[in-house]
Amino acid sequence: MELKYNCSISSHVFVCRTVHLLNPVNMYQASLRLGASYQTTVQAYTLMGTISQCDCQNLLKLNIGEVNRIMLEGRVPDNIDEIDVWALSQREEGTFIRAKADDIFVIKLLENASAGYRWKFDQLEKNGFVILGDDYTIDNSGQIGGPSLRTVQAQPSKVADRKFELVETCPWRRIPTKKNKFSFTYQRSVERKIGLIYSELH
Amino acid sequence: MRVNIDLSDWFGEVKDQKNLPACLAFAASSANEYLHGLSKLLCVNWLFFHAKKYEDIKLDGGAIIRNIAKTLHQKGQPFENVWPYEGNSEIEDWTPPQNPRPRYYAEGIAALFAFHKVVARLRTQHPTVIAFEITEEFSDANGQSGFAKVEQNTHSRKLGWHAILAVGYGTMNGKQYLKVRNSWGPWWGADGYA
Repeated sequence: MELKYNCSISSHVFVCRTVHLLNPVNMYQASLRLGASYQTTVQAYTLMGTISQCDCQNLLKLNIGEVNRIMLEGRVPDNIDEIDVWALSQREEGTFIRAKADDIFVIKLLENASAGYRWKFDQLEKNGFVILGDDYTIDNSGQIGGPSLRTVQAQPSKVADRKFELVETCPWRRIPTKKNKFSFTYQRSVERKIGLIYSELH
Repeated sequence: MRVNIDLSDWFGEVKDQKNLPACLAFAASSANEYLHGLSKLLCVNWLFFHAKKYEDIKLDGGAIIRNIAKTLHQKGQPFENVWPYEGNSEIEDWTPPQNPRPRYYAEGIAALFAFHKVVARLRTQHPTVIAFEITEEFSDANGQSGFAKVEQNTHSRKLGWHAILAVGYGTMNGKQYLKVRNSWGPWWGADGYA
């Protein structure tokens, strides 16, 4: 009886996760983490039965440039079809990213601005990132004081391999309070042609 | 600055909400303390907890104005010492005390958005809760000279919704300014005011 219950929970979780993969942005992000092309990743999930043939066809109708445009929300560089766009959030704390110098990172962090806290991104700028955008998405649901979503777009143009640790601070507060942190390690990757399986290059 | 109304002397030291989104509960608590002429603090935790419970909002979410007003009207507020505010977002057991007494009820404590309405209430000696979108200018208010002036304009980048208590107003160079009591501790602005 207990086993059956567990199976039911697992199957529910599996179905929920599969739905996430039907979003081309999530599928694309999965492909980047796996080190494979978008097309290969979609086909691999189809082969495993994780997504249907119909979903596969729908996902393959989009190309990387279109997915990138969705993620960059209007701030589109000329080489949009040749770069990768990496979505990072606190859910991936401590992650390792191997990316090209002209790739773009879209870092989304919840910020307690209404409590006086702000994320500091100067560590990125000091160490070779070019900040391309810095925007707030405010919760307009009527809840007063809740966190906003801070979205920073940054390009690792002159970054050497290293770990970055971002901190949400409140510099004038003179008492110790819990600080939210987000860290990731960057390593510059070799140039690769979009669409190739990453492992083929190594 | 020509000061028309300044009720700030009535209040004690500005408290710190830390990193919980409890600004509205802090502002409304101060207004309720003033309304009842209390020299002891009222319980922010109680107000924050019950206002959020109406719509099952998580601890890291903000409070809704109508629910703050509803809590003050229906459940009132006990004194702070029955459930002291810690401002810790990682509390596992966040349970209010059972039926604390006494409790102080209020009607008509609502957040206003329009400048002229806030001034009108201040003219009748009523500190008034304001909800508005803060900007970097507000967040970085510097009161080293004992005076913190913040001017937000429509082009300033908005960071999020915040609530404070307007406690006074005055005029400088032909412009009207509000004096506001924040809940970011005495270090922000000039002793917690701007």
